Amino acid sequence: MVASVMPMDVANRLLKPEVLARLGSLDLVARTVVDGVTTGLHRSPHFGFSQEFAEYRAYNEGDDLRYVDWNVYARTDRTYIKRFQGETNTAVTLLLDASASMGYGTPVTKMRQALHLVASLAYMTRKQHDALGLAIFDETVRQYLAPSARPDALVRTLARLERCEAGAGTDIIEALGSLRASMTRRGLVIVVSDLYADADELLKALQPLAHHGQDLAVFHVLDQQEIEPSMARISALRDLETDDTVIVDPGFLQNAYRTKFSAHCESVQQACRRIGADYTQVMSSEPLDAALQGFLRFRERRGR
Amino acid sequence: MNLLFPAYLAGLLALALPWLLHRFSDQRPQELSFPSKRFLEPTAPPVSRTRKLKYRVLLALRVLSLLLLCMLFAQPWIASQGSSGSQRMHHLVVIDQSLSMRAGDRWDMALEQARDIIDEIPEPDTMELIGFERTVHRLADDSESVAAVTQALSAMQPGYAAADYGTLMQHLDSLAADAEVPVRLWLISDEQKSAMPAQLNALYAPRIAQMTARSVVSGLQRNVHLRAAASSRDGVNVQLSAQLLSSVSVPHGENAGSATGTDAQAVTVQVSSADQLLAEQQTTLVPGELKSLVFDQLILPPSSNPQLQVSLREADALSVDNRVDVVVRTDNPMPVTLLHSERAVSANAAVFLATAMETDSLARVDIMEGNAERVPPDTQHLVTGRDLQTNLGIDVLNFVDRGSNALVFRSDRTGQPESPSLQGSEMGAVDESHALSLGDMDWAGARFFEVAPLALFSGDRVLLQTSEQQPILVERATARGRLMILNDRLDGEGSNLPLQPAFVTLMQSILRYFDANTALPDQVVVGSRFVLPANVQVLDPAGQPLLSLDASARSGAIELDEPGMYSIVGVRGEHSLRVVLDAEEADLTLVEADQMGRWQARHSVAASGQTAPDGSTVDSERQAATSPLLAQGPNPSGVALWYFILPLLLLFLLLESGFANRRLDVRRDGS
Repeated sequence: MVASVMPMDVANRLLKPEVLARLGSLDLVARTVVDGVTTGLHRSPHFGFSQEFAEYRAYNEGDDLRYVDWNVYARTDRTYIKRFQGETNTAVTLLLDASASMGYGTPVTKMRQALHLVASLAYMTRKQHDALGLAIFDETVRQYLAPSARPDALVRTLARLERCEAGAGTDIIEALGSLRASMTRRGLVIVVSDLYADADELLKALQPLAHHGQDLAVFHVLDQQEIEPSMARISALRDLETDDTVIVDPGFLQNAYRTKFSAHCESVQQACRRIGADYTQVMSSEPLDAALQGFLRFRERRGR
Repeated sequence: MNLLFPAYLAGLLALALPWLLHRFSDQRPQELSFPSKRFLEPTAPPVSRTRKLKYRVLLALRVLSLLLLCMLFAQPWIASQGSSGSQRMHHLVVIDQSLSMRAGDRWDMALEQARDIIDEIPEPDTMELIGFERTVHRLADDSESVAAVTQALSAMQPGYAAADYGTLMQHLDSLAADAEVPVRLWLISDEQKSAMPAQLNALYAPRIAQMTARSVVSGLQRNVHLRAAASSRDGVNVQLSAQLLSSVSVPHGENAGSATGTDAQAVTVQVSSADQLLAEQQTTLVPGELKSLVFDQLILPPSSNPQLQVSLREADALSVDNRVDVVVRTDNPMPVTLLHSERAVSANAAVFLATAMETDSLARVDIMEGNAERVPPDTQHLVTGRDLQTNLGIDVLNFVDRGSNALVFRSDRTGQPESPSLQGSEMGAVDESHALSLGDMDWAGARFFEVAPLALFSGDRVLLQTSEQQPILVERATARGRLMILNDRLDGEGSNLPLQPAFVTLMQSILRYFDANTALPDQVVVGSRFVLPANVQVLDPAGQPLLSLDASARSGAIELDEPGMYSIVGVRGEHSLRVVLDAEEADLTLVEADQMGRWQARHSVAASGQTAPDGSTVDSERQAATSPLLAQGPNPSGVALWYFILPLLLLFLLLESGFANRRLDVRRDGS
């Protein structure tokens, strides 16, 4: 595996969004990101305890001694670790917002950063033998792959992602509502979006999923220019989703807009907290390792 | 406040440019994409007003910058408080004495105008009479009496040299610096264009408070300047070329474009010898035209003096340049004496040397025996072989001290190495900076098998040496002539140098170097300096000696102030020297009136307070065009304002740049 022998500084450099964007293949992006993130972790988060035996594997330093099969050791004088398929019970569904607003950002668009993130999550999921599902939505659900533990689940997911582009307007409330009926299996639902929706309505849309027993993680993809716009003169700003143009003053963008946007992010974060969803901000200009490591910690906390 | 170049104020029309830009520029805001309008609010009207205000500040900065730029070019100045018309002044009455003042009645008019000026100068003022052509002559002042000045004026005569206004103005400026009162300059000249620089501002004398120019040109005057040269290969058939330069002076205020000013003029050129007409050609010339005529079928009459007279049949305003005497040049090879004074000299050396020097008929080598004292006096170049182990020989040194040139090569075989090298040494260091152009010669094949050591004196310049640092060619410093030492026997055994192609080039280069030292010029321009050799006498065109006995014994520079055929007589015979007139000085074309006006106006800060004497030919418009240029030094009569305008302009440009970058988001680096 490439990343296992890759120095950390090199791995970090490769994780920069503009570098990843040049890789082209999402598969390669995902492997580069995930292996870069998981390199150096002492305890393997991949496999856990379960009643259903999966396979034997040679003992490696750092493995939990509880999983050593002492019977095999007594017979063969070799140390083996028993591996179980406990995690395959978890179904991970990735919900990707592909609305037009996701096409904004620099040095890479929010859409490109979200694709990298979703591909990395998918790769990580399949590495743990979890069932993998994908939903791509804007105003409606454009693509949906039900969670599957089949070996080709990752390939199918990445193929869908490769063809995905930022499209029309967004209606995350409507999309989540229509997906709710499809997601009958309990598991982990990961939402990757720029969340241009009212926080209260977002809460209403996510709440049924939480009540249904789904673990929720929300990745809020943002660009620095939409948080702190720096136009120096009066500009006509064209809404990417509606094509409406609004003439705004630089003074407004430097003061009132930033306050409003900050309040919006805060309210979204509070809404997520109220339903127990994990909330992570992902900047389009920053590497993904922080977001993914936060996600791994979140999974460890949940024991999944 | 006055302006030196008010025409530059027309540049103020450019003020419309920023106004148009600000009025009609595309003020629509830039359109940018944004993820969502959810949190945006439209701009309120007060913001727009603020923006317009900022634009107005920028517009004002741009307008002021342009205004200052135009003013900078227009060069404003203000007169100082000290200069007033009632102040006591010192008057410099300056008269042009150059050749062109001989044309028509210019000189008479100059004298008349000078008298008028002298009469008009008020009682408390002082004055000085000055003449100038190539140099400046202070003739008289009124410290004794005005009559002395008038007498000096009557004794003045025009010369033959060209006028030098630069020298004049520098001299007058230094005179003005010494004066205790403001200086006013009265310049009486023919305002000849060819005598002045292209930009008359270069003639600005800052210490002169006021200047008035008087032109002596009245009526249309034509002149055709004639110059000629003749050569002959055989001394009988002569080819002569004559050049004709036509010019015309049209006084300011008359119509220069009229038929009288630009129409063609018929000119007849005659060639004669001893009052016998040999040939004649006719041509037409328009003013400003330079035309060449060739006479190629002339037969020189038998005479001991190969001279021809070339003249113009038609009279013109300047008659002194209508006839020239031409000496027929013959292409004779220079005489070189190859002196056999020692038996040890190889016979091969004489063959190699004579062959090399006579190539292309550059020289005629006469071989003779004996010492250098027997060499004919007209021989200026001597080649001889000597024993370099002992000394060069007193006869050679005496020969060189007479101002002649000698090339000495080695004749002795002493001091040679016992076992000569079969491989030989290559040519090493070459002095490429010497006039012989040794660096251009090909020394690759030269080999030196037997190089005897050569004792060098202080002042010796080694021009060629072997790769083992043995000197081959040395120039020895002498008082007058030139002496070269070639450290080779030239027999083809000690070295292969005489067999190399570079040897021919070297010998011819040495001869030309020698000839440049002793050759006298055939022709010089009147008034120019040239160096005479010692022991010569100069005879003027009338045959009278010009040098005293003492002066003729020494070498030195001489200036000949009158045109004609001079003779330089010395031990080597008689040499004809033709002193010709300056062709540019014979060009009578006048400088433009506005340029002349600006030049004098720059000095005329108090012109409005002065009353010009009657008879002035200066246009009143010239007096109006007043102003100083960018002063190079202190100007006691006016203060130039560009000192204040320039920093102000830079400040405004800086502010404009800052405002534009900050308020309009303009990136001046093109990004």
